Amino acid sequence: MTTRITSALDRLSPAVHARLAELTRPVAYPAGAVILREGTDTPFLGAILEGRVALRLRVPERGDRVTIVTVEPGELLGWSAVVAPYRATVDAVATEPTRLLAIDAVALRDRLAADCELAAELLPLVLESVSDRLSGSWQQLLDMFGARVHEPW
Amino acid sequence: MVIENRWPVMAGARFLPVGRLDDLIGALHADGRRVVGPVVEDGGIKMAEIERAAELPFGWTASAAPGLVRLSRRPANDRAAGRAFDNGPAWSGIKPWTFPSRVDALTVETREDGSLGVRVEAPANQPTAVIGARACDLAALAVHDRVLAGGPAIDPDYAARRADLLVVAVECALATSTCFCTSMGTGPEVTTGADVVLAEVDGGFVARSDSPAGERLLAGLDLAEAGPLRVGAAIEQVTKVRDAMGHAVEAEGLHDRLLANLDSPRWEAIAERCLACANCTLVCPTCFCTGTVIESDLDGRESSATRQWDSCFTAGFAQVAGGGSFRPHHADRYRQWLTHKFATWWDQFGSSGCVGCGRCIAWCPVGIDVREELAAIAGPAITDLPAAAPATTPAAAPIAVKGTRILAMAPTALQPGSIRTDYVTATVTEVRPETADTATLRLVTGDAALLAARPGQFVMVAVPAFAIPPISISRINPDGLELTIRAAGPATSFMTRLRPGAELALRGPLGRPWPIEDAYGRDVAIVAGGIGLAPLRGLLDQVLAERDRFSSIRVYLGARTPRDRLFVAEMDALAAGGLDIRATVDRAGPEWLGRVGIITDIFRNAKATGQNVTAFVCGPERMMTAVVDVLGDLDVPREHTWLTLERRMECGVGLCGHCQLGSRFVCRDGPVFSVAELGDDLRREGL
Amino acid sequence: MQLPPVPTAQVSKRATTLNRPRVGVVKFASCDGCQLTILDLEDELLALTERFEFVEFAEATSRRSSGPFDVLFVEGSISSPEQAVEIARLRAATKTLVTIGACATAGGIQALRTASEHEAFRAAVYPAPAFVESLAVASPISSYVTVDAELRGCPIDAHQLVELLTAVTTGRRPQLPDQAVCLECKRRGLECVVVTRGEPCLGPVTQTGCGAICPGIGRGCYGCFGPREGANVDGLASWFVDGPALGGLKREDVGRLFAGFTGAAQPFRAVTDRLGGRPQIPLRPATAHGPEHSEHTPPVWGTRPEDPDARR
Repeated sequence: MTTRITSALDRLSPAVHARLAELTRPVAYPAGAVILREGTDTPFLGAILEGRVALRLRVPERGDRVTIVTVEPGELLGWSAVVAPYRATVDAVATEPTRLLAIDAVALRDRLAADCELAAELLPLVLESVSDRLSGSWQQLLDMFGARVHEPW
Repeated sequence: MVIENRWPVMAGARFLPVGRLDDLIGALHADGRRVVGPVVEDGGIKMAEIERAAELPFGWTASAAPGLVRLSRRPANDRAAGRAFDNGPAWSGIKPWTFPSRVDALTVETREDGSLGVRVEAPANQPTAVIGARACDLAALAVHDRVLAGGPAIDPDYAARRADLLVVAVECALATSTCFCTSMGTGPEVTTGADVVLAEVDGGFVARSDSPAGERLLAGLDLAEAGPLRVGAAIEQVTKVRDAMGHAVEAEGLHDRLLANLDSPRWEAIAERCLACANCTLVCPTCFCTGTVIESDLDGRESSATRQWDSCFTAGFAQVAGGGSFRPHHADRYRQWLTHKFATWWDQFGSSGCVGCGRCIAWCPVGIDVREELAAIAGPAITDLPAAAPATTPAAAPIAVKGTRILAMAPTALQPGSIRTDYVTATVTEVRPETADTATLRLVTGDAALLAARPGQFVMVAVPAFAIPPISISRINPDGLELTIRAAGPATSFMTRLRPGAELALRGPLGRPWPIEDAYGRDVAIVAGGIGLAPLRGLLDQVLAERDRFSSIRVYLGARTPRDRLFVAEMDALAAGGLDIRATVDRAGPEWLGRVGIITDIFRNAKATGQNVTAFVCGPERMMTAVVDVLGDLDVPREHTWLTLERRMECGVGLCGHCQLGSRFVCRDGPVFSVAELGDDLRREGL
Repeated sequence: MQLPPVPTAQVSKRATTLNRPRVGVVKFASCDGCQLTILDLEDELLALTERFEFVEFAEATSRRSSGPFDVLFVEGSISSPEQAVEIARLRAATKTLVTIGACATAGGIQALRTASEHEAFRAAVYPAPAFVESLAVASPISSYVTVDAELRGCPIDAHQLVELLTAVTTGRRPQLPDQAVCLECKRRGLECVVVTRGEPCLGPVTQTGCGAICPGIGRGCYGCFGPREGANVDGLASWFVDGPALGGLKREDVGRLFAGFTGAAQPFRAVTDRLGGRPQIPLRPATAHGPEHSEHTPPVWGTRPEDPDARR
């Protein structure tokens, strides 16, 4: 049950992987770098290779931020790059020095519209990433560890 | 055929004229016994202490139907007008005398010098003789012998009462419409378990002894032989009772049929009629579930625990800290009762829990008839059954029912009486806060059994005035134990606020430990959620102590927030020492640079197969089922995936009935189980 | 991180007059029977007054207090506009508010007017109703303010009150079971009056705590402790109407069984609504003015037996 991690994109077929490579560039961020900003355009869809990215939301009225989930090597970052209105729904901050493969958002959307085979392979991975975030949020809503005592006694 | 079979046991039977019944009672009194027999009271016949034979229900007869019992006087010209026992079994049975509704159990007090005094109350009993027990009562007594005195934990009060009990049984001369002992193979003939057996005939009783004590009793009365005519009349009478009952329940294969119908729509239909009032369980002669009531003085220095009859039909029965009940609906509770009585009882005790006395039918205030419900849920229908009587089976021996699949429960292999039921005191030497609501208590004790505790076991912890919660052991030291306690209720809140020097009363160690040997030669995965790390900490200690016996060791930790993590310094030190520890929290502030996400996310990108993994998992039930799913996806074998379950545990030794999950007592058979052992029961709601 | 010091049991000293908890007993629309039940506690009364300071207790002392109260026992239902104001003031002055008796916990016998014609009741009860101001409904205290605990019954069981005070002082949860009366009945070894004599008994749907007094003297329970957890009133009512045991009671007779001291509490009230049997006094229509939410809301602390605490 080791967790040897490679890029999420390794799950694509070699042909699609190669076509996508044209749109992809490696990027590195130091710890503390803000990769995505909530409400702004998502510049790319990223595949984390190394490091850790915290997805954070601002707590209304308190001003500070809470980390909802971290994105780890092997996972995708920035699904909003391909889902309208293409704006980031959270802040994404590198908590460790992080390397990722970034696929340019605009070019990717053009390619998805033109290349059905690529879309058929890539979009399920994106949906999986959305699904993971969603089910994670649901589990947190249940607050599995947070059973409280209701009685004042 | 039955008549022929019964001639040998009746041979040499004596005749006790009805006028000499007082001599029998007198002999029992002279033996230092109180005498208990049936009396008429408030429209029913119950067992009560009697002084003389005249108090017995002479001339009364009874009729019973679902939810309906009527007594009436026999007319003077009725042949049985002079008979005392020709009126069916007493509704109370003899349970109130062998297993009373209330028993003092424990006193805990803070003495003047601040030390803790604990006293397990000694059984207070007076030697008793019961006159008028029926075959169903004796079968029930045999069931209680197995449940309360034949298992790894023995109920001292029951054992004491039982040892001093003498039974003068009476053969039934009347079957009411609610009787079905013939179906359950327990009657109506009295076969075993009595000291003296009486059969009421004209002018008196055909009496035989069935034990040395019974023989001494009869011999002392100097009776004449009954003779073949009276013996023949006695046999004919009980045979008529047998024929009158017919065959209402198909017991053969019932275990499997019931358990195959846990999702029957009939459960919901019963719930519309069932009041969950608990009458059926309290009049049942084999129901043994009890609850603990704590009473304390105004200063909270002294408290006493009383054990009283409880019922699986109440909401509190399956409730755990935080207020949730595992059986919220009436349908869940009825299912628990019926399946336990007729199916899982076999798995636990090797016999049916039902003796066919029909009390639950007659005394249900809305007339629910188990025979009808069994036929509807687990057919075949009553009317399709052959009328043939099944062979009578001695009640004391486990009844072999062909075609019944009995689950092998490892823990029943424990020696009878091997689980301790006494308390010892231990002193708190250190209280280490772990989180805002959790603290670890370091205890010192010289008790050899406690020091021999194994990881995964738990102790019952008593302090004055509070309920007695089960607490798992989080570390076993050479001189004592550590308990990591979350303030989930008043008692645990109190315990987390104790100071060094305080004393606690402990009973244990209890329960099945983690099977560490299952992981020898394999990859160990320890998966803990929240407070679930506490029972795994001792396991981790042991795994690290035997490090070479495992091919790898990994620890996965989940917590709600960074502040809710337990043993932080200890885990950090182990990680720094090279142990593979992966932690995640459900949410965190920006200062937390570690992983955030639910614990199952840690396994998301695991690539290798888990076939060589033995996993030990503990956390909230919801977290454990999620982890079990993920581990299953990774091919971790179900028989190598171990969980520890939380249920309401009051006695901790399998006697009070609260923590049952299907055929298991979570406290005694668990709390550690493999996923393979639990099967579908892990996820079944309301079980 | 510092945990708070141990407040109770093992380090507690006997209370002095200085730090005795302040206890009040007040009443609204009620008969004072619950207060008298407390005074009947002859064996415990002295110990209680040593341990608690009773700063107000109408039936026992002329002493009055405007608070604050550590524990306030409230008897009676809210039946008039002034009472509605007063209970809010008392709540603000109280740490632990405990309602006592059927009136305070369910509205009481006076709540029978709730589903009937208010003016008709007023005219039937008072010779000159114009001088009496009363609300159209008599409501349990919990319809107006948050209640921390409730002691049921008409009257209450005094030992439950002692248990509650003991629990408050030691910091544990009081043991006030939410089971059916039947459990206590059978523990006492009593016959079932429904089964043996066709006596209608509400024991199976009524919360225990009384010690099964009525079945103990051979009569049926009339539900003065009110509905228990998960009371299957329809199941019981159907049996009374259709089952053989009672010889087929009339529907309205069964409805009337539930329209007693706790008849305003659900689900008892719904049975009477469905089967009929509610006392009616026909008269001219009137306007109702009652609390905004008249449904009974459960106390903050439930009436469950003490939970075992979490393992681990």
